[in-house]
Amino acid sequence: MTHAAQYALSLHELEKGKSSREQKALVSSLVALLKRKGHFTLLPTILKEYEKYRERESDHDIVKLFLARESDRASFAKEIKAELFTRGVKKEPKVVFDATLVGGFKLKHRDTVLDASYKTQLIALYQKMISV
Amino acid sequence: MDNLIVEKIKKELEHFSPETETAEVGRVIVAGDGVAEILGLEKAVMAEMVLFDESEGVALEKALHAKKPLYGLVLNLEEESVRVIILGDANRVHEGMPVKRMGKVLSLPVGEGLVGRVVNSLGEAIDGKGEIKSSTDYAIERQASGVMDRQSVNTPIHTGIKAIDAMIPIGRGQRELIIGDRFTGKTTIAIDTILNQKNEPKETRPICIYVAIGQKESKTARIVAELEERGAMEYTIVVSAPASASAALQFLAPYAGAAIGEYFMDKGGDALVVFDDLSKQAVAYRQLSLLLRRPPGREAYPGDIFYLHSRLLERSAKLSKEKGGGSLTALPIIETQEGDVSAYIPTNVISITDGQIYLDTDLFNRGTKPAINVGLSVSRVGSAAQTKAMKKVAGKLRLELAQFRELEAFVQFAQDLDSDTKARIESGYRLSELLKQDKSVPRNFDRQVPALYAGINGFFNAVPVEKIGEAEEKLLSFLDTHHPEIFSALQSDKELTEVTEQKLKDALESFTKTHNELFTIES
Repeated sequence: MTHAAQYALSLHELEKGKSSREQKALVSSLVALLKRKGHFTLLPTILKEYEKYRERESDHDIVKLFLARESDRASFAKEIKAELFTRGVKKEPKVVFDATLVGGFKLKHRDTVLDASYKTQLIALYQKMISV
Repeated sequence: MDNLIVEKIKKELEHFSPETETAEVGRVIVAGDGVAEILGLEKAVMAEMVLFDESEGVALEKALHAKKPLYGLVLNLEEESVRVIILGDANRVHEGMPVKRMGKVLSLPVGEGLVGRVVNSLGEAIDGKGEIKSSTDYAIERQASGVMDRQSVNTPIHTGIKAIDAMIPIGRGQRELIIGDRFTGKTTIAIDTILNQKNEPKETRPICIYVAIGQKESKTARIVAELEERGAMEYTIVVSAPASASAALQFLAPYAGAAIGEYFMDKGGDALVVFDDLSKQAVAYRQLSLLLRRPPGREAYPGDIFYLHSRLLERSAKLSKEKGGGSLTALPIIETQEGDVSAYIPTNVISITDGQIYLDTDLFNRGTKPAINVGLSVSRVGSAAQTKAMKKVAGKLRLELAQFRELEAFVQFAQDLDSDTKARIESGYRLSELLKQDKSVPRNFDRQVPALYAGINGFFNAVPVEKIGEAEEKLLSFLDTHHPEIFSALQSDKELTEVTEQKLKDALESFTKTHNELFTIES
């Protein structure tokens, strides 16, 4: 872990459960600390790393549904519903459009990805055929 | 031809059932120097394979024409992330790239299809002879056979080098280290051993695996060309992880070689694997360990550097009859610096192996080739596997040479020496000369025995030292022409029976008489 990442992680963990006033004070303390230790030039990198931590946390519980086009949502509604049920997900998934999927859908929940896209299956078919 | 392909495609399409695939996916957060840090993959296990998914966000047409899949190997499991080594072009990995768990430990294809081929550490063909067809995969890292699955070494593996087969014999299933400075002939010994297996009957001939680690590609190409030219590629597999390959592939190459050898061992056959060389593998592993931020120890090597080599060499074995009786013999090579055998890696490997062949720079420079320092070389188990014929002639040889080395220091006082000492020194010179051997001319044991017998029993005492080589050549061709039954008797009995010994004595007497031009020293 780089120095900047260590500062970012510390800031991220300390700010949890704090009020916005306390968070502001925390940032001021960080700036003062960086100046005192001669690490002030790391500030932009620390902020970048901090953003990544925030993003990761906010992403963690979101279920993402990747579709090639809007119409696929209705076409695969039954399958998507079944998959969400299997995974015990009650929240409505966040839809992301990715035209490169060609068709089908992809469902991402935490670290698990269910890939039912045409693209992956076409690649698999292609690989199988060229290896014959 | 076109119809055939169309039919095949039709069949594939008819039977194609689209399947959904669930995978645990992480994302690359840091990548560089052949190592990537991945966030997620919480359930990843040590030494598991991961796949870098390059198709995300890429149009189908481009994804179809992508290069070969890029894999990684999990080596560090950390609190928040895992660190993997990239098994291929690290430039293809970028931050944010999805990485899938493969759910299996790193393995490579093994089987008869690999024989005669040159492959990389992942078992992929690199000789331009097309894809290798194999239906079996073996894990690169595997637990060595246990005590109950083994038996003691009891069959020799002939190197074809007189000095080794006579004094430092190697058995099938043994681990014999070849150690020495650069340019002392370490690789030559290994290659000669491979070449000599051509003399073995097909049924008992071991499959040879030459693992080139961190070598120049030109050197490996030269070795492959020589093996091909001499017909040795028909029972040899070359695993190449050249100096230009990533440290990850150099680190994995010996394990790949061992896995390929294990396949033949498990089938009840014999395999010989040469690791050329483990010093370079240790350097590659040190590089990876430092990049993986593991704490450095002595000479900056990581703490598990001993385990790196012990778990590899422990895989050599002579399996019990119940397990098929196969064997995997290992010839690891270690390069020393300035002849320092007490350095970190050499002492480690010396303590792991069942003996070592030490090659001396001074001997090499003086023209003694192979430059084996008999005093520092030893084989701890091989003598149990030596053929009776060789045992009979070699027992005396070691003793004579040891006495010669002690007396050699007194040579400068030659005038004051008694006749017995003088005779021992003279005999020592002749024996040392007899043990010299050119590269790429390994001799089968049935040819070594008569030559050594003649040397030990003083038949060459009247031959000037510089003519010993010539005398040996002439003796062997004389026996070939007039007494071929001696060779066949040695081949079949593996023993110097009284009858064969008498025949050999008679043949030597008649050789002495018919080749007066060689025997010019009067006693």
